[in-house]
Amino acid sequence: MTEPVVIVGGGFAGVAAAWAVARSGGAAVLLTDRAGASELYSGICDGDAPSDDVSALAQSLGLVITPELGAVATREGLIRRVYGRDSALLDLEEQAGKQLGVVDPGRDDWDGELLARSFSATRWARSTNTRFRCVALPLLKSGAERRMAPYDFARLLETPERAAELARTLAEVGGGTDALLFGPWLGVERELAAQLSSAAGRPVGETASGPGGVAGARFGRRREAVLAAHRVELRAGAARAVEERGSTLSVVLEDGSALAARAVVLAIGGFVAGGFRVNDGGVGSAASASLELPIALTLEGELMDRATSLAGQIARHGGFEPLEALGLAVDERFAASTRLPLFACGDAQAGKPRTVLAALSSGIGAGRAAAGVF
Amino acid sequence: MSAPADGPFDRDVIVIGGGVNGTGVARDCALRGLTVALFERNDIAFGASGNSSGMIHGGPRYLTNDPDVTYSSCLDSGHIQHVAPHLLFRIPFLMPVFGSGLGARILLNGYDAFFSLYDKYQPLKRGKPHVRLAGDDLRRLEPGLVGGVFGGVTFDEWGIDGARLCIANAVDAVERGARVHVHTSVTEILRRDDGSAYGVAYRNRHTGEIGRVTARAVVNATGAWAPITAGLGGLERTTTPIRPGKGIHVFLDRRLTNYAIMASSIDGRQVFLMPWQNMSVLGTTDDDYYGDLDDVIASRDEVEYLFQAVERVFPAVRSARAIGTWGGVRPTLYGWGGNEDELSREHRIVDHAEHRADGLYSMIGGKLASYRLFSEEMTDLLAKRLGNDRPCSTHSSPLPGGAEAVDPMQLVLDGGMEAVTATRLEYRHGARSLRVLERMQRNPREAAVVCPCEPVTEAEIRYAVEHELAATVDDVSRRTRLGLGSCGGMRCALRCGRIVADARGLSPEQGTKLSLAFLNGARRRRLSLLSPDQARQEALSLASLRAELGPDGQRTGDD
Repeated sequence: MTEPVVIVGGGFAGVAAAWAVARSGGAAVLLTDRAGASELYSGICDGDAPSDDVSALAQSLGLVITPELGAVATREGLIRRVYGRDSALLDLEEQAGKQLGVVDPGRDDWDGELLARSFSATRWARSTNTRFRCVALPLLKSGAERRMAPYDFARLLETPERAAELARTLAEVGGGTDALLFGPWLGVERELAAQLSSAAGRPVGETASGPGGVAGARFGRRREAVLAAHRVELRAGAARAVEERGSTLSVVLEDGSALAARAVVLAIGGFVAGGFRVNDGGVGSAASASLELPIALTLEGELMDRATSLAGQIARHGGFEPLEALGLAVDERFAASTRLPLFACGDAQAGKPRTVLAALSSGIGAGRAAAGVF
Repeated sequence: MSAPADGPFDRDVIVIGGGVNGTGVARDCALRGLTVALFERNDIAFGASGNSSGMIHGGPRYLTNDPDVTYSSCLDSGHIQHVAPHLLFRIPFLMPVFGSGLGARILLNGYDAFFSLYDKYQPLKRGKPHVRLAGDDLRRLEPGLVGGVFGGVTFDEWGIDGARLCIANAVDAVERGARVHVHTSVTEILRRDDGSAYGVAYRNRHTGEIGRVTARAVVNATGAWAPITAGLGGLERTTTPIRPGKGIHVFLDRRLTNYAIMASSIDGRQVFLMPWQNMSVLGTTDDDYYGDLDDVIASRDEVEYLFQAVERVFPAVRSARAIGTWGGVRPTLYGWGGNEDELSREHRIVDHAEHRADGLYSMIGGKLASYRLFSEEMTDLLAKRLGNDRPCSTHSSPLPGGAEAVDPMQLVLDGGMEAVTATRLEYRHGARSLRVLERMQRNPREAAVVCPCEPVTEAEIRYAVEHELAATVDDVSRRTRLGLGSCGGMRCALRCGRIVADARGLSPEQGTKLSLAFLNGARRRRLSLLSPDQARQEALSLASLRAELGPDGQRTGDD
């Protein structure tokens, strides 16, 4: 029996690694126990211009990758230039020079009039002569809907009756606008943005989500389809340790069981996702990975294998940036060890850019390298 | 332009400093019909006034040596309650005695006798008399107290939001004709050939605008900055003899106790855990300070000093979530040889005529609770100099919002506000909460809650910008406590920046910069709290920012 490559972590980097292992013809098991930074992401895919591989994988995850910089809107009235976005986010570049409607259902966390003014005053809008105006949209049924979390509001809007009603309303409002911009409420289980676009006869899309919003939830849903299509085994469970077993590795789970692995790809996320944590004072390192590893962490290029005051590091940097830089040092093949088949990608790498496109790209690279162990 | 040194003068009085004494003097002058200009290089209540323990106490510590000070403190606490009833809230204190046997009994008897004396002054400030409690009673009142309590006494004090107090004074002064310039540095105190002062030169730190204003008297009310300010007129530091004492507070995300509980620190000082507005406050330290006065931040050592003292009495304090720190520097009167705590909390007016600078005065020393009295003394001197014989009325003339009571339920019924929003709004604005309500009724969009932790509505943010001299997100936060709750501004700071930018006619990108300035400052003030839990919160807040601004936007705020 050939042991699989075990990927620890199911965010963008972990999924990319599993995808790459599967495409190389290897067996992959993806271990995941909870939501991480990918589930918190905004629907905006920051990072450098992506490779063809990244584009192909991104598309199957419901993302849109453009060869040129596109433009997307945020909840706070800003416009961002990016290569990738969740397909539900409205592509502003396509609407440059036109008139966009910012819908306003009257929610507390969304002021359509002020947002329209803010978008119109951005550098992008001024340089492309794109105008935004507020479009009132009678959508709320109760005071509770005015204040509920955006995710819950999205779940409500995608119920069949509400979705149908919304489609009917859209056919009547926003005359004279070329596209309609919604808050992050357009579908968790359904692709509501696409449905509404055809109902309204013009593009309908979202702004970026906040943490815990719909974009992250959609990633979670689409991920399962991608993994199933590539016959990656998705296993729920938390890893407690990675241990040496001769020339191979063993991933020990919280329940005490162990998974033998030809190679292990650590896609556990960075500090934000909980892949690394700060420890209380006392003996040992000031920070550690969320699971026991046979290798040491790196902070600012130095190994954290002795009692180190993280507070001291942070005071020296005058901020929390050192926490973000925490991770595992890897070589150009994403190997985190010179003698063990242990790889790291995404935010788990020390001091690398924390972006979706960087996570996908490094995940693919680490997956390929791990598959090469076969 | 060269300003005339011999009149006519632009103003009667120039006040430098927008803390509680500066705004207090500006208001007192305005009430007596004197024309005033006030200059503040940061924001109103930026320094010690907005970073104090937030108490209008009766001065029990002076009882044994100087009971007159206790009398005047209690009397003035009564006056402040009268002019700003909405801003004060009762804080009952608990002084526990630990141990057993004769020693504990003697100590408890001592406290009992001491606070019996203090009781005589309590009616002046609507305070309740002290109560002597047995150990069992004490634990029933505060179940979180550590075992081994022998007994204790309660005593009554009043809390206040120091920043709101300063804003109320500044706004009242403006409404009575004073010109209040915030974010404007005085760059020089102008003096004639004979040394007398006749005005100031200033520079607005936001717009770069410079100018000169002349006046018949200049007041240096800059607290710990006093020696620096005196230097702007060419005076030696020793002309304003203060010994700057840094004090920090830690605030926790909720009220943990019914009483403010006193505890003893590792070096024998009295510190406390106090329920204050909707949170708990640990305070305070007192250490000589020689650092940057514009950047006073609690250190990890200071935070640990407070926690280790309080946890001996109230262990659960460690499991509560610390969400921020305050740091301020007291302009304590100079003294050599004593510990910081032993220095006098008295105040003093320096008439710089003795330094060849007639017409220039410095206010040094003092404390939040005595601001009104100190301001009255200063204004009496100014009035006499300027031939004004109107009596002081700051003890009887209501501060903005203090003239009449508003029932927060009225705001709920008339404005559809949630009860907690209404209660907090009424606390900050008193009767003027009706003006904020009017905004919401004119434009229902402004009823939206922007900061859900405090909570703060869009109407209140716009009100602060239009009527309370706020120009940045930090300023709004100082006036409304926006972004100081559990989420550390993660849910509201960016939106607040957008609203401030819109209200001031700035671009969205400039609004984002204001938000980031606030968030970065707040994060720096939390650095000293770093613990595993705290670090996770910071992580979430970073993720939130990144979602909005992207990987590089965090620093620059560029789109």
